[in-house]
Amino acid sequence: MNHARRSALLLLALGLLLLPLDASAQDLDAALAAIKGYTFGDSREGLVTVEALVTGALASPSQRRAAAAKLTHVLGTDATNDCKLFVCRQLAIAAGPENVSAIAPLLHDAATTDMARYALRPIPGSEADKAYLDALSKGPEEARPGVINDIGERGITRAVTKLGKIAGEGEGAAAEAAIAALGKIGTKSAARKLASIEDDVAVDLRPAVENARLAAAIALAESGREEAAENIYEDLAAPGRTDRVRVAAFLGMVNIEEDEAMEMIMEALDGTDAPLRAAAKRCLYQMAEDYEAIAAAH
Amino acid sequence: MTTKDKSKLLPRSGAISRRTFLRRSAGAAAAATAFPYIVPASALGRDGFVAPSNRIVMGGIGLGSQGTGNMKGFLEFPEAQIVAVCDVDRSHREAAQQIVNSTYGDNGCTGYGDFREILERDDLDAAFIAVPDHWHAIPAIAAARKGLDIYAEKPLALTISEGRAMVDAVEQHGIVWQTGSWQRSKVNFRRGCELVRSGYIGEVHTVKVGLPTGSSIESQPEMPIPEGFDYDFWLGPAPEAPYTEQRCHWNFRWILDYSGGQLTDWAAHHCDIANWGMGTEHTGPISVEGTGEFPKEGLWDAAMNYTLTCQYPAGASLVAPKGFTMLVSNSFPMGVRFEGSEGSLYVSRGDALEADPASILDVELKPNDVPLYDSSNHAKNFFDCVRTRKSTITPIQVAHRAISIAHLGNIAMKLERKLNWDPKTERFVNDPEADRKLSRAMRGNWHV
Repeated sequence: MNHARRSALLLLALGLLLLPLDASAQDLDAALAAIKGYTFGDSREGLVTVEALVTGALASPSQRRAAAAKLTHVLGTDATNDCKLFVCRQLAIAAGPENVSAIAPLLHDAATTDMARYALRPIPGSEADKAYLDALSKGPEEARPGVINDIGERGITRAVTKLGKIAGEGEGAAAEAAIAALGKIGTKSAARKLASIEDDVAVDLRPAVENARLAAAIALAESGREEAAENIYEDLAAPGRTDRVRVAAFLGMVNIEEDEAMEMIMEALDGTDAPLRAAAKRCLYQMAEDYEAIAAAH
Repeated sequence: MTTKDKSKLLPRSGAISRRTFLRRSAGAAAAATAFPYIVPASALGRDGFVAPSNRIVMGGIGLGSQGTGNMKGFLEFPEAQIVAVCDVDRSHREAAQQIVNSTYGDNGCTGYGDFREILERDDLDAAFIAVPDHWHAIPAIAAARKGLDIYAEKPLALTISEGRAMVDAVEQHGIVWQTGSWQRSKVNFRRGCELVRSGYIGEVHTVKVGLPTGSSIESQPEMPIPEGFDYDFWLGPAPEAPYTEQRCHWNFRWILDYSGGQLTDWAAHHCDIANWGMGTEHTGPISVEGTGEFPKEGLWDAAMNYTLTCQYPAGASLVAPKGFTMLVSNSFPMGVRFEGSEGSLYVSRGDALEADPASILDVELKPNDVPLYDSSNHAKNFFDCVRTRKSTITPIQVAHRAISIAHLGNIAMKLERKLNWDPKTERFVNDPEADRKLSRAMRGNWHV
């Protein structure tokens, strides 16, 4: 076989291999065009077709990237918001860091920020983190709580200083979201911020600060920073705290101090503090159930 | 308590003394707490009523058909006192208030449209919650953080991530939780599971969980929001969507933004029983695959037909030393069928309990057998545990594991491939794509 013929055959084989890829890509183009005007109450058939094509594309990294690029393209068109919301749901599974720049602008519009978050929140990596941080600084006020919530869920530690400032505003939805987010991020720095604002926030936000400090204590304990966690629990057990906070602090300490836990539990059980006594009883019953399960498994 | 690596527990200088910790905490309470209350003798034993100070004061969140049904059950117990109800639909709320007030012969039941307001009350001991699945996590976590004991409906949560957040909140605050998986309080289910757990059908190799078939409905038009229905609040953390009657109240179950279809609605019952029989209530499968038929048109989009195959490894269950397969499908008879090396056992509602050979049902449990938690009434079990602080028959941890099976199934069906799952970490194995399906962003300001 001469060189020219061999090359032609190779090209033909390559073309045949690419044919399904090209066909499904064209299918997705057509399917997306068909749903551009979708509004609620219309037939969902077009959406189902798109979903099936996107799901099929997930099997191959290159097909996934191609599908995600087509989906994000729709976000920049005059497709209906109902269509874009659907597209964002598909991007939640298909999008990668390379798509963040196309999705991020939607964070900055109150009308589209929620749908953007459906797509962005699951995308790993620093690109999405940066998009959230940009939106925190420059996005509309009404979008801030949702952006902050996702920052907390993603655990974006770079946001701690800014969140501390927002939390320190002391009232409002953004402050409440920032308080919760600091608790979820759960670093020492986040815990310090929470402690520093506790006396300054509006009265109705103080329980949120306590909840966030408890969350931070758990995160610190789980990451091996037990002394920092203990300091939080000690503060939350202090006079003036509500029963629910003292109980949670007690249980947190019991969880950290496995060796001294029984001593703590028995002392609470013998004490006069009714909520701690109830919590200690609950601990003992839970431990008994755990030991029974271990015995039953052997 | 959670398990901890003991090597990390080293004495540290300057560490707070545990006794100091307790003394400070107890001192705070001793200063603030009055001497234990004295119940007037005249309030005891009068006409059989429970003295007010001995009652469990409850508030209800979500008073649709299920919530109202639960509430009516609680009202039969003199040890419970319902003082407040909350629903975003004024008609539900007012109907519930009417029922409570008629029962007590007064106007003492307060109605709320916002669960945050009912949870601000200082007089509640417990909450009962029966809201759509997409709303399960937020008010439950809020109630747990208030230190309230909780009776809440199944399926536990909309996603595995929300379920885990709920479990963590309940454990963190040491509250008592009862899931509305009441089948465990029926003698035939307990008896069947005891026989399986005790080895009377031999080594179990297959568990077949039969659930109902789903439904579809044609496309629905946008409709005016009914007077008194706070629809935006009803949507809450779910994506924006126009109001239409078939979206809300009972039928949210068939829409994936709010629930998981018949699969999740019933897996919370029958997968729970499967777990109970196999002793796998605190673990999960290591692989799940599924096929599903989802509606291609119309408002409802949850699977109508579905079959899941869940594999459990050797060691997950004492009665399945080689591991076992749990099949979940609408093609099986409703209920749970355990198949073992020496027989089979089937249990379902309507007191159904069958075995092959039938003589298995005549067995009296022996000292070495596995007697299971005995509860004859699900609500009473909750009230008893509120007082004793014991775990209920369906604590939140087992509810989470039961519904996780269905969530994994829905994810597998949507991704159209077999998924490998680590029940310890509650993550898919080397599968970040599937991990994305474990949680969802919440609309607007809502968060757990």
